[in-house]
Parts: sequence; C-alpha cells; structure tokens
Amino acid sequence: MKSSDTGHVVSDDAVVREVGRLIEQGARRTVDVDTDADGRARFVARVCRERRAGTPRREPRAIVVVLAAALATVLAVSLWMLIPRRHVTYAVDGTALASGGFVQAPANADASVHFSDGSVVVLSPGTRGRVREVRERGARFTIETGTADVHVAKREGGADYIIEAGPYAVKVIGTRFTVAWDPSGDHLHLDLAEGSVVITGPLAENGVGLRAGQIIDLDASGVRVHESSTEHVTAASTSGDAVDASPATAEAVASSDAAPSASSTSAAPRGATWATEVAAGDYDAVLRDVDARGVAATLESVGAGELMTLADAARYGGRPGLANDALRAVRRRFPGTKPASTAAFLLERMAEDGGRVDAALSLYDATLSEGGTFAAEALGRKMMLVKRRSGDGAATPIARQYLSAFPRGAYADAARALVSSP
Amino acid sequence: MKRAAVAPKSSPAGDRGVVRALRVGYADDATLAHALAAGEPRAASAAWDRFSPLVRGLLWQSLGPSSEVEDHLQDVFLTLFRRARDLRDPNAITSFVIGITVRVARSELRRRRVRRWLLLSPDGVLPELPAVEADRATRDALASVQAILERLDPEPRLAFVLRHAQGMDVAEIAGALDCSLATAKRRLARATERVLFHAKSDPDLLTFVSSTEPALREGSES
Repeated sequence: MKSSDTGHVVSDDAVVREVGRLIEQGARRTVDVDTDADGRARFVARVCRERRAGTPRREPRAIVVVLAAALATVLAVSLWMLIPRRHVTYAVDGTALASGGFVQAPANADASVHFSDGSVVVLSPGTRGRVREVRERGARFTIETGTADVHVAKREGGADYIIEAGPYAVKVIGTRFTVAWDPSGDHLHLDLAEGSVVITGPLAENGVGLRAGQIIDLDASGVRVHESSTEHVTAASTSGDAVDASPATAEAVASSDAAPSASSTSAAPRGATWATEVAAGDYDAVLRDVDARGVAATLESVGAGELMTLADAARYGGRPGLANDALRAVRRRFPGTKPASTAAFLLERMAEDGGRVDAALSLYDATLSEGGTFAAEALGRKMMLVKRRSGDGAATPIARQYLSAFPRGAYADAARALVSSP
Repeated sequence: MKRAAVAPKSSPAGDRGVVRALRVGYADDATLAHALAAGEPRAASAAWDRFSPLVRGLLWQSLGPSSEVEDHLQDVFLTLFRRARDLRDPNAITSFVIGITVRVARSELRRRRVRRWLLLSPDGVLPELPAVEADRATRDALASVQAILERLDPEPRLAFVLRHAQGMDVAEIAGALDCSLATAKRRLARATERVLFHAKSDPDLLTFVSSTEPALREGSES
C-alpha cells in the first residue's frame, strides 16, 4: 500500500492493473485505411517477389560461403557506389510536390510528373501517387489510387521504369499505357496502347506479358485479358478452374481467342516470346528471329499483335524500315481494328520524325477519320505540325476543333494560346 | 521452441503460372496455415486481414508510440510467411503469430538499448507519433507508464505487457517468450516489482490511479 499526494491509498494490484490498462489504452489507435492498405500491398508485393526469386532455405554449412559472398558483394558495391552516377530528375506540373515524392492531382484537373528523360506520368483528377525512387535509367512510381496515363520514353539500351499499383508491379521498357488502381476493390486495370509490358503480382506471380492493344483486369475474381478492339474476355478464373497465365499462354490465349480476324494460326507462342523479349529490351532477338524466318513471309503470316510487337522491336532496334513495313502490314491486313488504328498513329509519328510532313498530315487525317484512342493525340499533333509549317493562322481552326472535342486534352493549353492570339 | 515442420500441401508439377480463383478469406486457422505453408500469395493477403489488428496492437503495446511500428509489422508478416512451414499445429497459428511478434518486438527493444548506448537518440526511441485522443491527465499518465516501461529490460517488459495488457496467463507468456514456465514467472515478477517501484515514485501517476480506482481506495475497501 502506498499513500498518494492526494491522500488516497492505492493497492499494488490496482496500480499494476491500471498500468496495464493504460498500456492497452495507449495502443488503441486508429490506423487509417490508406496506411493499412499500403502496408498490406507492400507485404503482398514482397511475398510475390520472394516467390519469384525462390528464396532458398540455407543449410548451416552454406552460411560461411554466403557470408563470404556477401562480404565480397559489400566491397564491390562500396567501390561501385564511389563512382558518381546521374539519376533522372523530375518535376511536377499542375499540383504541388509533397515530401516523399507524393503527388495528388486536384479534384478537377490533371497533374503530371515529367522526368528528365522525356517520360511522363499524367494523373487524372483526384489520383494520388508517389515517386518512390529515381534511377539512372528510370524511376519507380506508385499509384496509390486512381488512374494515370504513362508514357515512358524510348532510350538506347531500354528504360528502367517500374509502375506499382497496389501489390502489382508493371515493368516498363518504353511504352505508353493507362493504368488504374482501386485499392478498395484490389482492382488493377491496364490498357496498353503502345509497346509491351510485363505485370507481376498476385494472380500473375510469374509475370504476364501484354502487347499493344491489350487490356488486362486483375481483381478478386481473377485475370481477364481483352483485345481493346473487341472487349472479348479471353482469360478468366472466376469459375475456380485453373487457368494457365504464364506469359506464353496468356499471350497465346489473348491473341488466338480475342480477335479472330486479327490472329495468326501459328504464331501465338512466338508472339508471346517476342513480347517478353521486347519487354526485356532484347529487340535483336526478335529481329534475328524474323530475319531467320524471312521478313516477307513473316509480315504475311503472323497476327496483328505479333506485327505490332515486331514493329516495336524494329523501332527500338534501329530498323525503322522494317517497323514501317510491319505497321503498314497491320493497316493492310487488319483494317478497322484497334491495332490498325494504333499502327496509323505510329506511322504518323515516324513520318513526322522523319520530316515527311505531308505524309504525316495525311496519316493524321486517316487516324481522325477512324476515331479511337489516338484521335486526340493525332489532332493535337496535326495542329502543332500545321503551326510549324504554315503559321498560327492556319493552325487556329484546328485549335478550335481540338478545344471543342478535347477541352482537357494534352494540347488544350497550346490550342487556347493559338485561339487567343491576335 | 522448436516446431516440427508441416508437410506442405501437394503442389502439382505444372504449378508455374497457374491462376486460380481467389478464395476470399480462409474459413479457419488450419486452412490458412496450410495455405501459408504452401506459399500461396493470396494467403498472405488473408493473413494480413486476419492478424494485422492483433499484431499492430501488440507492437504498439510492446514498443510504445513509434513511427517504426508499420515497418515491424512488415517484418512480422514476412517472417510468418517464410516460417509457416515450421508451424507444428496449424490450429495454433494465432499463438505462432504472437510468438513472432514478440520476437520482433524484443529485437527492436534490444536495438533501442544499443541506440541509447550509442547516443543516437536520447532515449533510444525514434520520434513519436501523435498521442492518442484523451484528456490531459490520461495523456500524462500514459507518458508516465511509457517512461516506466522504457526503464525495463526487454524480457521483463514483454512479460508485463503480455500479462497485464494482453491478459495472457503465465503458460501463454512462456510460449510467446519461448522460455520455461519458471523463467516466465520470474520475469513477470521482476517486471511487476520494477513497475510498482517506479509507479510509486510518481505521485502524479498515483493520483491518476487513485482517481480511476475509487473502489480500491482504502476508505472504500473498509
């Protein structure tokens, strides 16, 4: 027993009980949903990474060897770290950059993160994200919730970007896509416009390769791969039956089942291999394969998806002529499909980059007449091209047309400047 | 405490790249334990949903308000996932989780002691998070209790928390601390003695206790 200053006498049991109650009360804190969801996603992602890496259980005898190797690694890394390196830098437009690389787009406008290598992540209104890490050849960007348009600029040797969304990681070499993450429903949606990516995470532990024109949805009900032109679900696991989602099979299922008119009868496994090789930056492997099979025969035999992947490999691998031929083959063999529309846009870009202004303008008009995903981009680029070639006066009507159709598009500011200029 | 390995559920030869329908939730502890032992990533999500409140609470109680609790939470769950095969009784997964949590907390308390020795932080604790919502007197009492816990060695501190905040009996404490029953009793007795000593030296804390324990005031008892 002990008297307190207030004159009360309290038993030892009461003191101990109250201390215990205070410890319990002190730990009764509310954890916000985002913190818990972030922690859960980090944990699941690490579990998936470990499974992929196949972390072995080490025997005690091996520990000495492991320690020696670790010491050697530490020394090597220390030396390596002494060499100064330049990482990409970034700037945020449309909102403020908060500590820790946190970016939140305003409720009624886009915000964008511009990287020094030309890559851009555009966050839709209300979307939250975070630049987790910048590297020599890219960055790691996390979408906490919402939708983002990602354009990773092509660079020699391949870019090194990882776009994370919940427990999923999208490895990007050089491509353009839209990704949405809904943490409340654990739902990932990715619409790949250009290039190829590999997605890893729950339900995709070994990586699922996607190529241009494909859409993937992953959530509690399973994995669904669509061709964006048909919206035909090609791989789902809602029934509980096992579905092989290895890169090869996912690609094969998608290409053979989703767009019959744009499919090859024999090239699905090869397309899957090409997509994986392009995603890994091994463009030469694809080009060697095509040369070995014969360019002309390949252009006439493989499906639209494979042709698009081949075009990517050729563009990134320094063979613009072959890229041009592959894209034209898509336009000729699969008219009216999403790959054909994408091919038109890429041909425009290549024509513009090559200084063939008339050809580019003609192709832009073709894209606009077909509508689709690239209509806004095509109209914006046409406006800029006309402005450069013929001046503001000639571009102003196109600017008005752009603002009317896409008032919040990427070229809206440039269009307004043209319209308001005297 | 050594735990016998549980044979993982059979895995078909062609398991690579197989996608199955997500089983939303695992009905019972044994099912979840087997799924974790088999390395199913979906079981990782289910384990997080089921155990994170328990683990987070125990970490808060053991370590106090620390910005590192979320990192320790990751450590606990990764260890759970890696060591699920060592679980002898799949129905005892909750005890297994508590044991892992206690080991993680113990490591952190030891690290804090080293930090204190190295003067990296005045008290070995990293910057605190905002306090819980409570009146001034309760917040002061919480701070006093935290200061008392900081004076205890890791083992007695954990024994005290498990007994008086988690409500475990001595046998459960022995299991969680991976020690004998006698050792658990000894650690608990030492912790209780130290807590009483420091609490009785804190008049403000005693005043608070007396105000919240009216039934135990001497007058009431008589």
